[in-house]
Parts: sequence; C-alpha cells; structure tokens
Amino acid sequence: MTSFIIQRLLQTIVVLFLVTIMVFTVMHMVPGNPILVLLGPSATKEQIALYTAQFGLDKPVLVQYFSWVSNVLQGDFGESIIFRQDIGELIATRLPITVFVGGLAYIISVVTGMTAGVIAAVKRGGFIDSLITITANLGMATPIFWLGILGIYLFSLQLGWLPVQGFTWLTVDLSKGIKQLIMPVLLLSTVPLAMITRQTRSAMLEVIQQDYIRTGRSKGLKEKVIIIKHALRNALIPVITLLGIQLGNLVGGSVLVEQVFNIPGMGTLLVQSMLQKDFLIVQSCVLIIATVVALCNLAVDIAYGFIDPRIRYK
Amino acid sequence: MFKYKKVLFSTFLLSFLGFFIILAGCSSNSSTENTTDSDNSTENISDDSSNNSSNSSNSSESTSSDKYGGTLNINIASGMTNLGFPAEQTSSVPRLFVDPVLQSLARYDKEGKLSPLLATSWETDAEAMTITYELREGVQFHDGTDFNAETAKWNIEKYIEVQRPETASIDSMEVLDDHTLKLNLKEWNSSALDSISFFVQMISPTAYEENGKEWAIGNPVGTGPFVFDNWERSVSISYVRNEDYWEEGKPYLDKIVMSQMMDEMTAVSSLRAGEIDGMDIDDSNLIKELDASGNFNLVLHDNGIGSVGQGLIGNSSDPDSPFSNVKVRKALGYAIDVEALNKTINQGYAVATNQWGVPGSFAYNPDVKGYPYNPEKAKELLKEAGYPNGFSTKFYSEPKHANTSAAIQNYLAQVGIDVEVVTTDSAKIQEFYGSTWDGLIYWWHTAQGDLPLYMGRHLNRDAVFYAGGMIHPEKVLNLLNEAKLAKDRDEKQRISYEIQKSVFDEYAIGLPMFIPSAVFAKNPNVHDDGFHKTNLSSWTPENAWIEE
Repeated sequence: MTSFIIQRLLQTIVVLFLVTIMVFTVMHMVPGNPILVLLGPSATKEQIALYTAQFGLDKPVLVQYFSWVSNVLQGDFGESIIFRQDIGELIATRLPITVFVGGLAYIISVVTGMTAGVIAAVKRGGFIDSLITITANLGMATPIFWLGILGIYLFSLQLGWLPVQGFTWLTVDLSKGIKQLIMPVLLLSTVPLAMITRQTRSAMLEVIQQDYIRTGRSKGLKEKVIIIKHALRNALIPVITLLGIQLGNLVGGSVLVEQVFNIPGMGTLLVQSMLQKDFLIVQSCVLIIATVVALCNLAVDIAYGFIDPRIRYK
Repeated sequence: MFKYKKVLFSTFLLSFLGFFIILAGCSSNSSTENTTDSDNSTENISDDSSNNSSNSSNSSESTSSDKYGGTLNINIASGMTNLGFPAEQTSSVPRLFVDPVLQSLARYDKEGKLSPLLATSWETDAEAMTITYELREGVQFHDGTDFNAETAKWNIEKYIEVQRPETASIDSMEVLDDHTLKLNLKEWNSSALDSISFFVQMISPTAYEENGKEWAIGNPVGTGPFVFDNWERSVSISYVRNEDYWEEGKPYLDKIVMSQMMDEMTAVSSLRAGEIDGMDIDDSNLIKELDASGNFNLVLHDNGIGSVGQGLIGNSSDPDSPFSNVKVRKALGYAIDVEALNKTINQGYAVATNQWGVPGSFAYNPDVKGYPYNPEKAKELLKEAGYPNGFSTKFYSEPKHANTSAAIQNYLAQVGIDVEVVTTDSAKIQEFYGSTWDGLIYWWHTAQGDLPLYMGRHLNRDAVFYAGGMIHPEKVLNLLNEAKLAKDRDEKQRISYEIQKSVFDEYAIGLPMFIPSAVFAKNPNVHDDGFHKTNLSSWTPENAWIEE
C-alpha cells in the first residue's frame, strides 16, 4: 500500500506539472490584455508600458512561466493584476468560505443521499421508492439558478424568513450566518444529493440480489445487519467514486450559487478573474483545484482498499 | 391497498408539481404586471425630479437634528481593487466607493462646472501657463496631519509618477505659502484645471510614507466626511462618521456600507427586501420592475457628465475596408434608426444623440445634422461609394448587447450590408480597442463635453483606445489642439462646436447613437445623497441623511 501511495503521489506531481503548462499556455493564448482592462479607456501608451513592465509581462513567455512556477513552489502565487492584492492572501480568504459552504452541502448530500438511496432500494417498487426516485430525478433536472431565484422570491421577498444574499462566518454572527447559509447550502446539495441517491439505490439493488444476501437471510440474520453490514459495504465502491468526484468540486465552488447569493468564494473569484483576464489568479486557482482533485482521487483509491479488503494494490 | 397507494402517490406528485407551478406563477405574475405598466416608469422617473425637489424642500424643512444618525447601505455593482492610492485607480467608477473618505480640490456641480472642495478658489493664466489654487485652511487628514500646499503637491506628484494623463501637462509646482499652490504647465491646456481639480484625490502623505503603497491601497486616509472602517474585498466597504470633519455639523449619517453585489437581480431583491437603501442599476427590465412597484425613487442621470456614450465605429484606418470611404460611413448612419432603437431596446432609459454628449451639454452643437433614418439615402451613398449591391462585414459584439446587435444587423441588411455578428468576450473586445479590428465594433466613449480631453483619448494619433482602427484627419487634430489651447470657456465651446461638425457631419468617423442614462434606485427615505445629480462617478456623502 505504501509503495502504491508513493507511486500515485509521484504521478500526481507529474499531473500537476502538466496542469501548470496547460493553464499557463491557455491563459496566454486567450485574447485580451489585462493591462488594458486595468487601465481603462484613459490609458496612454506610456502608462501601458509602465504597468506591463511592473507586472513582468514584457518578459519572454518562457521566463514568465518559469518565474511563476518557481515562485509557486516557494509558496508565492504573485500579485493579482486586477485586484492588486497578494494572490495567496486572496485565495486564503476565498477558499475557506467555498469549502465551508460546499462542505455543509456535501455532508447533507452524502448523509441524506445515501440514506434515501438505501431506503429506496430496500423498499423497491413501493411508494417510498417512487417518491425518492422521482424527487431525485427532479433534483437533477431542475436548474439550480432557477431554484435559487424562486427560493429568494418565496423565502426572502414574500415570507421574509431568510436574507437575500451575503455570507457571515458563524463565529461573527451565528443567527445571521445560519440564515444566510440555508438557501445556498440546500441549493448546492440538491444535485449531488440526487446523484448520490440514485447511485446508492442502483448499487444497493444489485448487491441485494446477490446469493450471499440470500444466504444471510436464510441464516436468520436481522435485516438491519444484512443491509448495513453486508449489502451497503459492498455497494459502496461506485458510491465512493462519486463521492470523490463531488469532494473535488468543493474547492472550485459553484459559480452560480455564489453569484446568486453574493458569496465571496472561489467560484466568483475565478469568474471575475477570467473575465478581466487576471491570468495569475486563474493559474493559481486552477492549480489549487487540480491539486485537491488529484488528492481526492488518491484518497478514493485508498478508501477502496479499506471498504473492500479484496482490493489490494501492488 | 394498491389503489390507495396509487392515489396517495398521485396526490403527492400533483401537489409537488403544483408547488413549483405556483412559485413560477408568482414570479411571472410580477414581471407581467411590470411590463404592462410601462407608462408608469416614465411617470415615476419624471416624478423623481419632483421627488428630488421635494427632497430638497424636505431637507430644508427638516431641522438638522432630524437628519442625524443611521446607516446608509448602498450597492455599486462594480469591482473595487484600490481604495486608498487614487493615483493608481484606473477608472472613474472607484470614485463612488471612495467619495466618503477621499476628496479632491474641486468637484462638479449640477451644471457641470467645477465647484470648490479642498480648494477654495483657483486662478488660471493662459498666457503664463499657470494654475494657482488657494487651499482650504483648517482641514486635517484622518490621521491628524494637516492638509496644505505641500501635501497637495505631494499627491499631484504621485499622479505624475505613474504618468496619469490628467497631470501630464504639469511642468513644475511651487508652494507659494502654506495654502497656495501654483502649477506651471508645459503648454497651456484648457482641460488641465478640470482634470487636476476633479481627478486628483488627496491622501495623507504621512500615512503613506509610514506604511507603504500596499497598505495604502487597502487603508484610505483622506480628508472626507467619513473615516475608513473595513473593507471585505469584493463584498463591502464600510465607513464611519468623521467626528472632526472640516464642514461644521456634517456629516449626518453614522455609517455608510457600500456593497458590491455584481448580480443586479440579487441586488434588486436585496433592495426590495430592505437589506440595502439604494443601488446603481443598468438593466432596463429591472428598472421597470422597480418603477412599477412604486416603492422606490429612481434617479436618472441625464446631464451626461461622466456618462459613457454608445456608438458604432468601422475600421476606417484600413484602406481596404469599405469603412475607409466616408460615404459608406455616412450610409451606416442613415441606415440605422437610432431613435427607434433607443425606444425599443433601451426602453427610454437612454438619450439618443447624433454627436459627442447629450443635448444641452457644453460641447453639444445643435447645428450638427447627423444622419436621420433614411435607408434610401443610405443605398444611394453606398452606390456612389462603389457598393451598389452592398458588401459583407463583421460586427464584433459582447453577449450582453445581443439584442442591439441583432437590430443593427437587421437595419444594415435592409440597405444591402450583410453583417455577420461575431459574439465574443469582453477581453477580446478590449484587445480590439487597443489595436484595430475588422469591420464594426461598438464605440464606447466618455461622452463629457471636454472634447480635447475625452475625444482626444480616441482621435489623437498617439491615443490607445480605438485609435488604431480610426482615421485621424489633420483638420480634426488641429481643432482638438486649438480647443486644448483655448484661453476661455467661450472660445473652447466655439471650437468644440466645430469639432463636432467636422468629426460627425464631415468625416463621420464614428456613429454616435445614445448615452445610456444610468439609474440610481433608492428608498424614498434617503435624501440628499447626490447620486446621479452631478458627475456620474461622484456623490455627496456628507449631505446624505435618512428620514426616520
């Protein structure tokens, strides 16, 4: 297992190196000049030259790339061209918000989704199964921004129960923070919850029909033990893969939900930076997201071994 | 049992669907109401001027003590990346965010004339090429240091260091006494007084020197009526009352919070829910919705000061382009019904124009004929230009202007110009601005009356924006230079009129269409904030108050 982890970590480093080349190349190929965006229509040629030199954009592209990579390796992401702030600091304020909001949505979707999936599988063909399946399908099919707008209309404007927008850390103002979290967290959890429910249901259905489950029943094992101990554990492999992918999404944040609820997370940062061609931020964000996704995949692979002891890596 | 389950299941399904339909119905109801109530909008907006006059009378009726206290929450949907080092602020929008804390030597009044702020008076001498400011005494920065001629000079120097165009004409500065600063210009420039007085905002040199530029960017230390409190980047900026403000008895508010919700729909919902008191708003459909609700005052910015005009411009600098032919450029004007576009697309929230600026503004020449809609004339001109069957061209446009672009495409098709609308992102469009383009693009310009300053940013040969794609007729350049050297306002206006005639009637360098009238929507209990009353990028936080 140790050698497998080391091997995967080395692969991850290669992947991240390729990501740096890819994101750097793409960002430099995309049209647009961030200095023109920064200076606006009153810019003079002298000003453009001054700021281009200040941000090192007058240097050859290869020099810019190696300078960026070497700085990142030393923990320095550089200074944002548009935000005029240290990118490390900028990400350090945005990332925790995205992870917190996304994390809550993740927990809700995993716990509720798996529970609903198991119940639907156990009660297959019944009313509860239909109810869960239809709700899950609706959850996957409904556009999130539309649900968000309806939610704001109903709960904020008509009923006045929840605030329209904003984010407050719970340590700063518990009540306000919770109220502001309810709608974005529920919306963020809608699609993953639906996906996990469906995935758990179909995986469980497959396992429940296996011979060893029948054997367990004939041995007189309690249904609860059969479902939780024997069936669920074996059904978890495809679910874990899905959970791993969803975990990676946590870091990127949801652009739509962050935009609609004015949450200052990674999603809005990425969009703003892309639109204004602040490529240093985009490069750094993509690199961080890629790192987290790669580590999540590694964690999923390791988890397989724990869940199903038959899986062993060499 | 099976039947029972089936009924229960159907009931659930129906109620679930019903819930969503009711929700959707609720939301569409409101928009239907709003769209059918279109007449209301004009009423409310024209009401607003009466509202504003009534506000003014309210303010005079209210005793000073009635005005004190409260927090004003407003939203400006714009990025803000530099609060406290204005020399490196790169557009005029951030000024709205820093008006509570930073002040300039002067600002504009309702007529577009400079009125004193940190300078009490000024004297210009065109022969000697000097501007002499008398500065206000007894003014302190928020760190307790004095504002005087030395600190004003230091601030102007910071602008010169980063080569700001506003201070480019300054040759040297002399501190004549504690409160008198004399600027010696390289050559006389009729725009220098406005540029320096309005755009140079004063920060404390002591705070800057002690803490450095990076600190200053996030910590504005000025002379304004409010003191910087907190900046949560991309979320909100807050200020608290400056107890030692130089204007006695002001400000009235305890606190100002300026949020930065970029999504207008969210901001409008926030306004409706009472979370904010006012907001800048562009979307004409949302403006109509607010208007129809009757719960808000909508302040229309229609004086053109600081507004951004929208026009069309072809790549006339390329001799192979049809737009290098003046007849084609004029045909473009005759082919498009700007008035109709303004009514349908802008829904009345813009002023149509045939030149630089809105009717009635300083440089607006009523004698400019422009190109009233006449497709037959357009066809004739195209024929004379050697395009009897029209031609094909590209039109680069951002997604947000899809409706306007499609309408223009349709108008041009009617005179034989086959336009391919190429929808692209703003970064690509920005690249065109800085270089050149192929075919047509929108022409965004600061439609203010100081033509040598604002029009010169595009028409001068060494300009950056649009300059690469447009022709630079010698006659226009000479006129712009003459306007720059004009010794008084009358002379400048006379030359400005000639510039308008030449640029638009003679050369048709670009086709001006309309000046979008930005709208500030606010709760009726907010008074004297000054939003959209003078320059679009400035307001009067020291006068603002909230009625209980």
